[in-house]
Amino acid sequence: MRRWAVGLSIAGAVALALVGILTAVLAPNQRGDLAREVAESLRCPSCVGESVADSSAPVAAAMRAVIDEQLEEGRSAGEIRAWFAERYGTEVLLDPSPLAGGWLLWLVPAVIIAAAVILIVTRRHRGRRWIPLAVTAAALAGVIAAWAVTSAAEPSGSHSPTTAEGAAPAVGVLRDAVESDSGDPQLQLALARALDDAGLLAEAEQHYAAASRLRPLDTDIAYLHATVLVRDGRPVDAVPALERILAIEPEHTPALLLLGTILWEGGVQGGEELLERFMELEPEHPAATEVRELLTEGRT
Amino acid sequence: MGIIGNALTVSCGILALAAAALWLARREQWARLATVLSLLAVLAAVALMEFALLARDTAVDYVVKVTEEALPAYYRFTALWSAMEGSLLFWLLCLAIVTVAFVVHGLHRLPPRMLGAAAAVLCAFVAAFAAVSIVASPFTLAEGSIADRPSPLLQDHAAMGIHPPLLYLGFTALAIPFALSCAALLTRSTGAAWARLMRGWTVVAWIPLTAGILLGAWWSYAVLGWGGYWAWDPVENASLMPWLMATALLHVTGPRMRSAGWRPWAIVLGGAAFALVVLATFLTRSGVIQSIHAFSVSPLGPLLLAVLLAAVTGWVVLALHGRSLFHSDARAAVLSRQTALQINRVALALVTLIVLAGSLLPTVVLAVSGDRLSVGPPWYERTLAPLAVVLLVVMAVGPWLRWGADSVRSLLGRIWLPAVTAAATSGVVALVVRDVVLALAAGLTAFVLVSLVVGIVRRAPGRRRRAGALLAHLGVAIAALAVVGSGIGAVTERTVAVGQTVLAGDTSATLVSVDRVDDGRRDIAEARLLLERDGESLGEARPQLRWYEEHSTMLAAPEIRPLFFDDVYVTLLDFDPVDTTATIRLAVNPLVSWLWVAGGVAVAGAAIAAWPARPRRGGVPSTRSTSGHTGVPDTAVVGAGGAAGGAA
Repeated sequence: MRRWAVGLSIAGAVALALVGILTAVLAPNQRGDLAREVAESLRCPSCVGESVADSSAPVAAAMRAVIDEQLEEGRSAGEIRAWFAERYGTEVLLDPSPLAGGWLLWLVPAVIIAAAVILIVTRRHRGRRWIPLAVTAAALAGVIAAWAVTSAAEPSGSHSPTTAEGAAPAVGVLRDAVESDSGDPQLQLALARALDDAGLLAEAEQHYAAASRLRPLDTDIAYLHATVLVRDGRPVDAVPALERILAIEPEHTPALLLLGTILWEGGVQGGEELLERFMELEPEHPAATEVRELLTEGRT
Repeated sequence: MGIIGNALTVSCGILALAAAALWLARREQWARLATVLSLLAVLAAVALMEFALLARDTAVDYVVKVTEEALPAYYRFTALWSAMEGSLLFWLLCLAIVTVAFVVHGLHRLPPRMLGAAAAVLCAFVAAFAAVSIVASPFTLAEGSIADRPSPLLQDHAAMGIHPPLLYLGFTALAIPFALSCAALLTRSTGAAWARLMRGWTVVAWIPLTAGILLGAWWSYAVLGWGGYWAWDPVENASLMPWLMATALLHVTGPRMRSAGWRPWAIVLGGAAFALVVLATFLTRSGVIQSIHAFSVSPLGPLLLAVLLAAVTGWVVLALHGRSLFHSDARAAVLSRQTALQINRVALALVTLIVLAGSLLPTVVLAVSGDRLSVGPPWYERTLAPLAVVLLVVMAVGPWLRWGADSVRSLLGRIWLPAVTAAATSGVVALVVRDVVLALAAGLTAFVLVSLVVGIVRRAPGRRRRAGALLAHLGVAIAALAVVGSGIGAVTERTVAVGQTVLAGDTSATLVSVDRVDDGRRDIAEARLLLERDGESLGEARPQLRWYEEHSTMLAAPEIRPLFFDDVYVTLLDFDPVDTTATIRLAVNPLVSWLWVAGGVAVAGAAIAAWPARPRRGGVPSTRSTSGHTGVPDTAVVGAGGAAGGAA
């Protein structure tokens, strides 16, 4: 009975292991993408002991861009590594190729292992000379074959060009966060900007307004609030926000320009005055010529 | 104050030299006195330096070099080991402490000649490092070196107070196995007491070394912001090699292990471990090797090289003198515990040699041929992976093997339970995660876990020690699992505006704001992000960038959210206060936090296994257990005697 149970559990475990390992072997490689694997095998030239994949140095970022570019052109990992080795010297390879002067680095471990095997086997089989030789040869062949196989097997990960994710997932996260803590101006502002990016202007406006109420003295938020109202087709509603900005900071030129334009177009008094003040402060502004035309047009 | 400090260091050296001579001349009373006095001298020098650091006494040059007005007291205290000169003084203190501890502990345990020889070697090392410390001269620095300030990295993290002292303690404690190795060769004898002390002091070194190395890995992970914990940096390797030797030594000197040609191995490993420590000291302080851990170039290089050469030459001369100890004709069947232990030490020695080759070859090639080569993680992974597999398999199965001779049939009859569990675990993990290597590592961990449970449940003599050693093995298995798992992460780096999202795998981070604060010592930029996975909020992350104006150095302070199966790791790489955009690196690192747990498990296991047994009535406890026959895995870590506990 017990033997029977043991046998069954062994068979079950072995079957489970086989099925599991087989599915894992057949599953697509998930060990990162190819670009990262190539970057991990290159040394960042301006850092100490960091790979291109991990370094935040500008040169590493540039090299990552080159890797992406070349992968998209269809080059193999080996070709890209060779390309970098040619430009930056073999020093850039963290896994020196046996062909490019790095042979010593592969020979030494092989010799160390061979020496150990010879030593152990000769001590075990004194007298029979062919055994140590045969075992050593077999062990060495095994080591070399293993290295050859691993170096021949190019990193086989997939390469998907880094796509810029949209703001869509951000909206959900931020909405939840704002719901649980609506008094946080930073969260309100972040949600407003995410909604703004997603084109949901009306909703964005509400959260800009909320952020602005929580931080009444922050002119940047107020200005964002005003611009979203203008883009949403409600320029008149933007007037109070812009007036508040100018009350806090009378020389806030973007607010001068925007409020001046709104008032001018609405035919309301005071618009011209604001635009003239803008011209005085920012004569070189790209919008200045347009404003000048607008003003002269109005006078004639 | 500087003169007193220098005088104390000099007198430490002279006293230690005198003590070494007195030990050799077998004037033990005087020798003991001189040894203790040399410790007191360096203790006074260190106390003086600590006083100067805490009081910020600018008359002492070293204080000017390593501290600044706004530095908190904690980092002033740890500043003793934040630059080369002070760290050598601290090193000397650790060495003097272990020397006195060894003498006090070994006094009635070792034969007088053996004790005298070992103590003489230790005192000679104290004298040598006192000379190094005098040349480094922390109390009165040379003109140029004051400006060469330590990195703010060493004033930024609480680990600064623990990681270096642990490593120094572990490193210096390895001087004792070296001294015992020399003593055995000089007296051409070993014995039970010698082996007990060898083992006990190796455990005393191994525990802080393991903890220190892992703490360093954690520090690197938590602070440097690159998301990794081990870079195969030459200096990291320098700490790994003595650890590998100490691990091999632990598996040679256990009482029941002393049957498989253990003596030559114990002597050689004891010598090699500390020789590698001195090599590490030389590499970090000579500027020979470029590394983030290295101190600047200095005249100490040649002096440390001389100490290294003297130690190695001395050991080799003694080895020729005591070569009769190297004869060993222990034979055992191919399938036996002895073979498992043999494979263990050979493989550990090979790993050490390959790591040594990888650390030194680029420098050698550069010096010889002028070719610049880099040896990085891919090289180490490929050369060491086969050996690591061998070591892990032997670690799992070895404790189940019988001494003398075993048969495959009988072995399979004993290990079916852990084997079945391991196979089932591998299968399940492979089905869930779809990664073969991770599945096999999980299977190995399950195997060792079941071995541990069996070892605890079945009553047999030496149960506590066996359980401790199997617990240490479990720690190593979990560490292997964590290392394999950490390779399957996802990383994304993107510049985002407020309200935008970075996505890595199924985890997202949404930027809420970028703020700046100045806390006097540094200018801090902080990004505020909302983390989310599968529609569930993981809370907020606030990674920072800290700009140290005075050092013109930028340090990252990543935020790590440890979850059960992975860490969410967020780094702020760059920010633009005008556009309120931030460059964020979001990484999902599977199983990394298991590595820290693994370290705790391994250290706890070693401590449990080596804790000295209460002396039983009726003399020496029997080390013969029936374990091999009752189906209990047995790591044979039995009878460490009073050595380890007494010394610890």
